[in-house]
Amino acid sequence: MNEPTPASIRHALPPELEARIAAFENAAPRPDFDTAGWFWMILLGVALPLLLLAVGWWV
Amino acid sequence: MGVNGVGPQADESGWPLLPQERTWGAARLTLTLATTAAATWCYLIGESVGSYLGFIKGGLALGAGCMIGMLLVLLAAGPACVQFGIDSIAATKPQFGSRGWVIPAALQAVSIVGWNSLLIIFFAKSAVQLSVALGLLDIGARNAALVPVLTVFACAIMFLALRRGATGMSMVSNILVAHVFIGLWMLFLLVSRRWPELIAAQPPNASPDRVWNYTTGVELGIGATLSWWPYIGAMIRMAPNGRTIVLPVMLGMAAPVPLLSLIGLAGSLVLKSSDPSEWLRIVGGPTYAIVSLTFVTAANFGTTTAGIYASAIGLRNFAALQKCSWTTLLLITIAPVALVGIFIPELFFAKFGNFLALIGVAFAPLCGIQIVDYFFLRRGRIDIRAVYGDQPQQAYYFWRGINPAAIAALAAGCITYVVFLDPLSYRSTALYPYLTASLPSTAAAGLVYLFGSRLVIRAGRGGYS
Repeated sequence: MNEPTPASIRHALPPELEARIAAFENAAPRPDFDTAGWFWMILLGVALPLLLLAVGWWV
Repeated sequence: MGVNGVGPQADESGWPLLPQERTWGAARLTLTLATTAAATWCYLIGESVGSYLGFIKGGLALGAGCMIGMLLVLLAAGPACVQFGIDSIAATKPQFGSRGWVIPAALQAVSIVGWNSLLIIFFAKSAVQLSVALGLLDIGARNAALVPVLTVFACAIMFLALRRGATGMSMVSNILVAHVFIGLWMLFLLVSRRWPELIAAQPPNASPDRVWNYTTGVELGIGATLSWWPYIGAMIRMAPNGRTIVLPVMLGMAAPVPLLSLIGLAGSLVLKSSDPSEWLRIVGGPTYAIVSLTFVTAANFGTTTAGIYASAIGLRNFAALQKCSWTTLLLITIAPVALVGIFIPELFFAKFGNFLALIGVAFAPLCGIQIVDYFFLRRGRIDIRAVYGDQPQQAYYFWRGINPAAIAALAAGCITYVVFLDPLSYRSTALYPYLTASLPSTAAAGLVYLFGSRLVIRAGRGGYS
């Protein structure tokens, strides 16, 4: 992704968009989710539903 | 303002937002997501669940389903949207191709126009009822004629608010978020006053198979939150990083749906009506009915505003609409909603259940495809330049701009869903009670995409190397 971009592709984009993309390409890769994010996702999206399902089934 | 100090307001464009432009913190995002999630559909969903399950089982099954569905949406659209500040539609270009993205874009347009039309009609009807309750209008058949007028009025207000882009949407949410608490108060009221009846109430359409009933409650929850896929990107892209979005999405967007759906679930079980403005009049008299109608009116207005914004940002991905003014784009987005609200309101009321089921059919496989692509095939690497390019030498051009693996996977996922659960007749396969329909659909689409992509990678397409 940090390889030089052909001029034909660069010139195909509006200058404002080109500047935005260049800003991302020149910056360090941005992470998506960190450890805390994964923890909450697993807790709220996996563990909590399993708990709710188990409780709901037995009540 | 853009990176060069010129160009359109960033939050009114479909271009990637730079980190310094993403100013929404967790609280602001939570408020906006909660206001978006809480709407009339909550008690319609509750009513659907109340057909098969009692109050406690129904609430728990729905809660589990909503959290599962929200997780799928977050894993599918979240990573690309939050990394680059792009919307849900732009995030599908690595999977569907530099032209194939129009398929998810069409799904988004149909979904949001459909939902917004439904909600704006509810808004108009609630506003008429509220005016009658407040004594501003007499009871009469001619009040029905006010619905189209109020629809146009609501569309005009939304247009004015959204002229300020995401800031306008956030402003509306800040004002209307109070309705979420009014909803919880209504739930408390019904539960506290009718608890014995609520516990004893039997769901009217329950199957003899209690596993089927329970799974259907879960499935309705998953389907409901999968419908957030088109909305979510436009909002989470305003947040600076992944850490900021997880709790607002899981608690602000997913949790209010089952909680407020309990209003419809309880009302349908005890008073045989999911409409809180009807049963609050029975429980607490006309004052409570007025509070309820205010809740309904505010709730639908907030959600529709967010929907219009998300839809307008999605349209920005079309080259022809990239340069048009934000005002024009808003008018293009609002027009179909207004026309449906004015000319064919009853059709949307009659087809709600089918509509909800159809959304599950489309968005479950879409999530499967995106999750497999991002986490297993690309391992978190997105070529942002290729997302905005449409030239043969670019990574997401595939073949003529379309990735056949994604098309095949989407078809496989939709077929799988229909095999497991016919969304129209609710006829199901023997495995449905144990697996739901959305989850096998997501898995089937993901697997077909995984194996199909092996061929794509072998052909040297898709920018996977």
